[in-house]
Amino acid sequence: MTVDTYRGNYTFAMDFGTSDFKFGPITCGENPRIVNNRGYFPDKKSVMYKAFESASDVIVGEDVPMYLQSAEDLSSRLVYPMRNGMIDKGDDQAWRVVSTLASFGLREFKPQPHNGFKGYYVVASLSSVSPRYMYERLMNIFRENNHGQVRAVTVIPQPFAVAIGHGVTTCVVIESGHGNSQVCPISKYPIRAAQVALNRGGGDANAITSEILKDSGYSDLANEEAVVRKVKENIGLVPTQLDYAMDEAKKSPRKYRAKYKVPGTRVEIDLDKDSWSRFLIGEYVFNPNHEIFESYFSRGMPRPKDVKMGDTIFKGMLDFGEAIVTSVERCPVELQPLLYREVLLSGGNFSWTVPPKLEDIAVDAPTKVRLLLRDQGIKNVSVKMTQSPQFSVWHGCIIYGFAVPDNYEWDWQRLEGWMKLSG
Amino acid sequence: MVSLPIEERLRHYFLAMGAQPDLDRNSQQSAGDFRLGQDTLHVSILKPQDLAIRNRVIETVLSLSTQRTAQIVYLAAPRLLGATMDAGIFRAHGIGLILYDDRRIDETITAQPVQAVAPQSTVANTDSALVGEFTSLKAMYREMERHLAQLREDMRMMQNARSSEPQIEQQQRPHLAARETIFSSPPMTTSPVEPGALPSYFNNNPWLDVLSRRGSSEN
Repeated sequence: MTVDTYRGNYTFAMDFGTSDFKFGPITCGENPRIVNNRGYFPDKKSVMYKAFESASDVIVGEDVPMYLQSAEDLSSRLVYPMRNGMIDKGDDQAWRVVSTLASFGLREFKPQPHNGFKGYYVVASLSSVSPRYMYERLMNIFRENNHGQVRAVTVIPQPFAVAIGHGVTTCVVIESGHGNSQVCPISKYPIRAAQVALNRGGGDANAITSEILKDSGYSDLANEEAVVRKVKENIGLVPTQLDYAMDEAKKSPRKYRAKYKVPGTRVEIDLDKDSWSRFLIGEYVFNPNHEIFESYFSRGMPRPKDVKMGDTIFKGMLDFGEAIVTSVERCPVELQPLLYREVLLSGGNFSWTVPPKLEDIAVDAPTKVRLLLRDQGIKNVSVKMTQSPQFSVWHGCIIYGFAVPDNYEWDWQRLEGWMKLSG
Repeated sequence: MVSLPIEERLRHYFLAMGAQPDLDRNSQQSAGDFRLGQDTLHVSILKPQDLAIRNRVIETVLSLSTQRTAQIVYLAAPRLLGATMDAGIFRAHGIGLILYDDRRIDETITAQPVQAVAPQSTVANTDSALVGEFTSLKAMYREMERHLAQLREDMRMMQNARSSEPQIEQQQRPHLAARETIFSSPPMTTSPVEPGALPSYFNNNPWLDVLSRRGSSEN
């Protein structure tokens, strides 16, 4: 293995996740810096801005809360560019946030002058369903804003980075974020033609949690996104088998009672005799095909639809087991057993815990995926959560930037390699 | 929902964080004193009407930064104030900032615990035992400095010895040996990775080998 010595200190990784932007050079060690992947566009006409500010057009990083104004303004002024993993070609606001975040990240780790620094090797990572124009736009951002800080840049898909960070060269990675999920087989390279994208993510679990809150008499809280998310995280459970779990919970409501007190407030949510519905939250993420969900769809909750974004069709109602099988079966038959041998789950949407005494009826995400694959006739599968779910993409990017030879140049066909910007 | 006074809402907020009301101090001062584990916590509250009073904001911040009687101090202020304050001032003094409105309480800047200023009277009570302890600590510090100087010298000698045999090193541990040439001129504001101290995710990672062959296998 030949390694460019320079990159021992000057490899820089940027992970543009749906909620967080993780960034930093190799010298950060295990943990990168994290800020929210969002930008705030202050109202320049406001008296407050004119009186006190000479700041830039887009505010990013830790200072965003200092600029927030009324709640009504948030929806238009606070922009989360990667909420769905993709940015529209013409969404200039979102691209400005990405550009500002990239500059902010590099500025935060500006090396001292006159030390032999000739620019970072930057590895950025995007959702695996990102169309080619997103790669082009991101490359342009680095090219246009480069003040000698970037020597070469590359962009790799997040599931590929997860596999690298986890140290597995042949596997299936499922990355599930807020807006969507992607199943991506890897065999030393990402097998792009076999990718399956699902139009379902943590946001859909929030949607059904909101409906459950309405049904249980908490309509006033059902529209508060932060509260709904907390309720989902604290009372939502993934059932081993939904019908059995609901029956058991209806028989012994006290044992399965779902109660949650919102910290710092007097608000307490108690589903009481409706506590069986806590199992719907987890089931919906993994498999929304149970007939009970029809009653929610008929009352107005949007059914996850098949949508086309860029060149990719995002399936709405495919369960995770079926999605993995569909994806693997697009690969050569010889490779298929090797892919099933290692299924990696990554992303916040797989962070489900099992409370004590409920182990017989609730499961964690790897077990649920294993059960769904068993329903598809696939046994002897190893399903694991990534060791460091929050940072595995960033770790993978650092390893990629450290190891890939300097002369491996960017190629638009394979979407890999180094795009040289200076030096 | 009934809207509670901000003092009461903040009390609930800190209780939910695991703090306990500091009854002794609350009786003497305001209701904004708590105990969080071993630390004392004080929160000063600015109300919307305070913003109209000239210099009230700056007075409160100055008083929090100069008269620290608790290890952890917070300023709770209406959200409106957020747009006018520089976060750097709070971070520099370790003061936490909580912004609130009618619906939410957000901890915008986390406070950094510091040693509370001891009352003057206790300083006066320094006894001979304390002086003795200081003397022995001073001696230990000198001894430690001597050891550190020795270690630095040993390290320099080891680096010189290793750089004289780069060939062997490069054959045995190519990527680590290569890294060492960089460390002779530490360049960054962030500290460089020590040789052999690569992050744990590099350990036995087969991708290092796979990726380093990119380009060559295609040829």
